[in-house]
Amino acid sequence: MKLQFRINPVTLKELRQLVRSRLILWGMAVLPILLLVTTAIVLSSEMHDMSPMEVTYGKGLGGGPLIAVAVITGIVTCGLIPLFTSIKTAIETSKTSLGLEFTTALTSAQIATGKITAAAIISAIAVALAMPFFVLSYLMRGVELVSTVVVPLELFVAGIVMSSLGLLPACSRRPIAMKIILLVALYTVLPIFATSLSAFMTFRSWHSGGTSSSWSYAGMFFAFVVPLFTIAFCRAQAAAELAPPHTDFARTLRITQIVLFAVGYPLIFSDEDPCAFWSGMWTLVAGMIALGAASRPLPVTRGAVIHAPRSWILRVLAFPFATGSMPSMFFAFLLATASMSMLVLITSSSFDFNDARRIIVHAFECGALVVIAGSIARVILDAHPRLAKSLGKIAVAYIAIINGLQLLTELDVMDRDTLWPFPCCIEGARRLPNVHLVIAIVMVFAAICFVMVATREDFKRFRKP
Amino acid sequence: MKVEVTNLVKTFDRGFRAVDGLSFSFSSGEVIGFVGPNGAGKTTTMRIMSTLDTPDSGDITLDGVSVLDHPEQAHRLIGFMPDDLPSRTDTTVDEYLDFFARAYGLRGAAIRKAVEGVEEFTGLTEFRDRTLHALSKGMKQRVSLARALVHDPAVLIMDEPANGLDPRARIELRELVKALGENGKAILISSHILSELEEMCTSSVIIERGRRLNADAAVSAETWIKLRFLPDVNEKALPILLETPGVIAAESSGNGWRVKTASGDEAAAALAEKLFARKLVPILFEPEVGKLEDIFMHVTKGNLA
Repeated sequence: MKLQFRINPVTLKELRQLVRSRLILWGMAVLPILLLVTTAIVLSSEMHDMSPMEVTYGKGLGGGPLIAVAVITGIVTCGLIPLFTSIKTAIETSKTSLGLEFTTALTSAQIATGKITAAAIISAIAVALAMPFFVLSYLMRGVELVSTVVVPLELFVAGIVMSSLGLLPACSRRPIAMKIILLVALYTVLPIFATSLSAFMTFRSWHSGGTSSSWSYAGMFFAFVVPLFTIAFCRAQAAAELAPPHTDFARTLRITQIVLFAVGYPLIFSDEDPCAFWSGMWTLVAGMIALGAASRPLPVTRGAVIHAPRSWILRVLAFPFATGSMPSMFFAFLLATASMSMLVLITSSSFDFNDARRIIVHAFECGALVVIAGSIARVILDAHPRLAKSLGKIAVAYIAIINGLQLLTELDVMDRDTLWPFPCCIEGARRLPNVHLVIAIVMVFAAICFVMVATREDFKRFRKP
Repeated sequence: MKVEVTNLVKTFDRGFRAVDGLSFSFSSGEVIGFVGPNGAGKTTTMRIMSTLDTPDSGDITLDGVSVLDHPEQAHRLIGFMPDDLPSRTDTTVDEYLDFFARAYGLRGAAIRKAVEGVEEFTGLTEFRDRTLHALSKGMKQRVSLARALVHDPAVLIMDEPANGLDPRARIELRELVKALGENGKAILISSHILSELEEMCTSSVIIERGRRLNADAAVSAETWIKLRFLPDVNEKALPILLETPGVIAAESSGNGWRVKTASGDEAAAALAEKLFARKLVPILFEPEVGKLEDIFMHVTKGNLA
């Protein structure tokens, strides 16, 4: 089959529309000229500041142009293109013109993927236009060859991340003013923790004369793993926001969360502090979202009931995956724990049983806490909505405080022995493994009980073939 | 293809029941007028049928297959034409239809064939390279119809397709709908222009406050026949009309008479027979009974089925 028929229809549509956008066309036309002028100005400035001896002996001049080209390209890929994608999507969702796409064979995940892919292609074109100038900076010396490859690649990845982030407020079912506020908030806060930081770290590493040997695991994590996490999560969240009501709209999000937990959770225990820090942050964010999803009454869809296995046992086993409410989240944590243990077993050269145990104990504690809080919130939600929301906030606050304190202890800012017995405390699981094992077991059983009570109505619907 | 809507219920926030136990059915080749006052639940029902919304209870089946349980199958069988079309400056008619052909899962040469086919059917071939923004309202409705037909669905759901159209565009749309009905598509069409619906629909469903109204009661309650004679026999016809069994009353109407009969077809047949027997040949013999506007006005006073 020809390539054009393999392309996501949404990507094709978006690209066709972008080609007709004067803003994009003018931007692409002006970008090389702007880069050329900027490079010339920076070069002449650097040469002006150098002594004749330095010029004669060919001191590297590439650093300055590399920074200038990276900044301009970064503004385009991480700023203008994501902004354009976000505004365009926000207008589409506000005018409900996306609705008709859900009468077709397209899924909301395909629509979200199509939009991100189109933004990625435009970002790739922008980076390609800048590539000659990156190569020029290498030819001017003073910059490692690998920098001229990795910096543009970073800008490209960061651009996709920013476009993905931009989709979140754009796809949400909120007033346009709220979408703009969310967009600004995302663009100002998250880049600090994610892509801009990673791009900066990568760039700094090489620009300061570093070589590939200085390229640490933490740097790799920031540069590529974090963006991939973010893209995957944003795609799933956007798909969940866009999905029409007849679908199991949280499915993609659920699957993504399971995968993210499975991949990300072990990194909390990494020896690399930045990895542990960021992964901990991510787990906290995902935990809060899981809690929100757990507390939301999300009935089993008709489609899930129809497609469930006929066998009673298989039906019971399939139930947690058929609903976006807390049972599936509970299983997400269990799966994450199992996957994580396997990952640790496979990858760790110095694996020992105690490490695995504390990891599993902590995972079960976190999972159980989310499930319990979500279950309580869901039960109370109908009768006392405000109280349920308050309880949810208290649970989120608890996790946030514990994680915050944990972060401070890891950074040696504080040493609180009293913190160790608290559920979900990573260091506590390390220091008091047996205590936390008991806590985890109790919490898991409590969570199961809570789930059974909270979802009994869903299960009644689901259990009959 | 038989479409069955069974006990459909949809409640929105604050307990507002937009659709309240609605049931009706229609089959291939039928063009059903879906009539009701503003806020009666027409669009909600159509959105549920198109899988854009979900009901609280009830079901919609296509040849026995539930639209709600198997939406992916329903997407292949249903074409939905909403009452508006996005007005884009960056998308041509051809690209718009091409996108939906791909979105419906068509691949390879089938895409061009389907797009060119619907463009030709709806008379859009010469407008294919225009952007959606540059089209008139009538042309936009044609594009919307073409989009709904691009995957050749067996069922077509049209929400207020004649809304905002000029008389010429309305007539053209009517002819297209008639042609589609003759091609065997099952069509559900809503409109406020009842005279338009009457000309293209094989039957109608009238709803109010989310419930189906009993139009049959209105049809049997009052039956009027419009008659016109040559001027020299017009006055002679009145006594004959009044003495015909089943005729309740007769009133002057321009150059002719409006005759009220007790029942529908039987009374009309008896009247025609009597007039021809007395050699009073009418130049116009038109039953007014069952006119959609009359029925609508009668039943939307709260006469719930």
